[in-house]
Amino acid sequence: MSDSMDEEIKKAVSDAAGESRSAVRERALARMAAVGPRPSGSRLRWLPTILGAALVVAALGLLPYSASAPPPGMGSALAAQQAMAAEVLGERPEEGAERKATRENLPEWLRGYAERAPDFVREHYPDDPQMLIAAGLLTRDLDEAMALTKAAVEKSGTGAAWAAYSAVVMEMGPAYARPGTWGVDPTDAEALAEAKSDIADSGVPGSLSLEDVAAVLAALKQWQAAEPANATPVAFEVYYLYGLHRDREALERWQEAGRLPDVDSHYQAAITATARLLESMGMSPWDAISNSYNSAWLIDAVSKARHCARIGVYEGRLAEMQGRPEDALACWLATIEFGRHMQQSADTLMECLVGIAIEGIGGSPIWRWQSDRITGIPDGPLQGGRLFHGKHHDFFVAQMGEAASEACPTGSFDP
Amino acid sequence: MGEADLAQPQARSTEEADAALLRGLRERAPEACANLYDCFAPGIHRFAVVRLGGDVQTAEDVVVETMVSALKDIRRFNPRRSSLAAWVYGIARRRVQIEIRRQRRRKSVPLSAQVSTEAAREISDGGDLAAAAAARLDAQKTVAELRDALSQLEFEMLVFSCVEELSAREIGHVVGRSERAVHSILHRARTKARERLVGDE
Repeated sequence: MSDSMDEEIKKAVSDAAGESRSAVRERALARMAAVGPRPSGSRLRWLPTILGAALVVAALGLLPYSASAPPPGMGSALAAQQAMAAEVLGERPEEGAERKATRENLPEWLRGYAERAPDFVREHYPDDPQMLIAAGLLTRDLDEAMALTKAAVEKSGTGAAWAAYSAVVMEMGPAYARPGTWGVDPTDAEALAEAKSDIADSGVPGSLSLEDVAAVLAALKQWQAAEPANATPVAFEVYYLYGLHRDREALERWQEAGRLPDVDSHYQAAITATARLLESMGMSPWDAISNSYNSAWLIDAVSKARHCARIGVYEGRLAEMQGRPEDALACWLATIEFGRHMQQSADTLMECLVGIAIEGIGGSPIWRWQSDRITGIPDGPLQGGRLFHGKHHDFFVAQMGEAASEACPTGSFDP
Repeated sequence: MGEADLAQPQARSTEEADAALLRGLRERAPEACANLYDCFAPGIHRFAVVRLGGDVQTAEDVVVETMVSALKDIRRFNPRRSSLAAWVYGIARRRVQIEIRRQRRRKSVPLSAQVSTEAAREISDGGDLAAAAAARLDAQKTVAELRDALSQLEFEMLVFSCVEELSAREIGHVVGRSERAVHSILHRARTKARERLVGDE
């Protein structure tokens, strides 16, 4: 009995822990290689450190503001806005910079509301899913956020509740970086090598393991079951499939997402809920509306959907280079379709703009073909994607779809 | 997790192998560093992941920091007092305790403990992914139940004994208890674990 129980425990622990990743081995060996010989045992070896620390302390005492607070004019709200703008524009995060706005860097004036929100809702609105969602997105405690949004799902089961719950699950879940997520062109060997080096230096994993994503996938599947016509949870699943390097499955799911007409992240519902909560807690209606965007953005689909678009285009370029134009077109057209559906079903300007950006990302490599054909200049003056909105897209698909596949067996178009 | 990985702890703790590894580590030889990692990292990873409630990224940090600390402090290791395995697991255990204190300050409950496994089983178009995800979540829940049923010390000892196959003497070195106390605590832990596992069935 004891042996079989030991085996059972051994299996459960081994399955639960999973295997250690090879990237960790490389990181450990690199750190170990950097360990030099032991320093000499001199008692004076700490003297430079102590003197340095004393100088720093003295210098901090002379600053005109508290060293622990951001300097004047560089508040956390501004930094968060800049990080979000960079995220939307697709810039690489600067080393040491905030990767994106988080619960931690909520504007100062909202923090008191964020602290009080969970207890306030439990006391006054314990059965109101809208209030539970808003408190879950506003609170800075992730476990509270999980409990509140889970309660909203159990009480209502609406798409908005699932979106909020999934947003929290994804926030607690893992992230990764691949060259494709940074919009690198795989034909540019130098840029590709630089991107790979940057990823290795950033400490962000280049891939995910199943134990990282099992819980997130479970949540997303539940959202998909609740809203089968909504492409957003499918797109999020694609993000994690790319993280697992299951690229073929990811592309198939991305194509399915492109076929679904509704792309609803429930961002607007979250904004409305947050404004109602803030007003109920005593904020003026005007301030409640203007501040509702400060936490509701957690629910948006901006970052991960754009990552999927970028990787889709990257994979398409790879397929094109490898002489598989059908696969390349499938990648790009799915991205265009997803972007267009996102624009059509957008409730907010933000979602509409992101939809346009995603359509542009998907259209740029296709337009490069067309541009080459018209001007005879490879990667010519007509910049990719600029004309691929509205009827131009339909025109291109009608004109180029299969013909492009047949005319381009080697991946380079020759009119 | 392959059988080979699970069998490693049994093969690693011979005195001769420890002595050879020790010589290499004192000279900072790259092969010795790689050996140290390959011998102990899988076990430390398992221990850290389950002890940290499924926080894989922090567990990976624990593995790296344990390896670096072991290399830096290798001259402090005394083979007459304990085996290399017990010494390295002792470092890992202290690292894990530091991380647990940090986790408590963050008051975070692991994601896997908060998400239902039902949906993962229902993943209809993922094939292997669905089965693997469900199995992983089930295993994590079993481990979480054991962790709840046992004290921290009992849980750690059970993992060191059942999974990493350390001897009672080695476990005693890791946790700072006598061999007799280890036997007694392990007996109590097994009884509680049996009650929990049989109760679940």
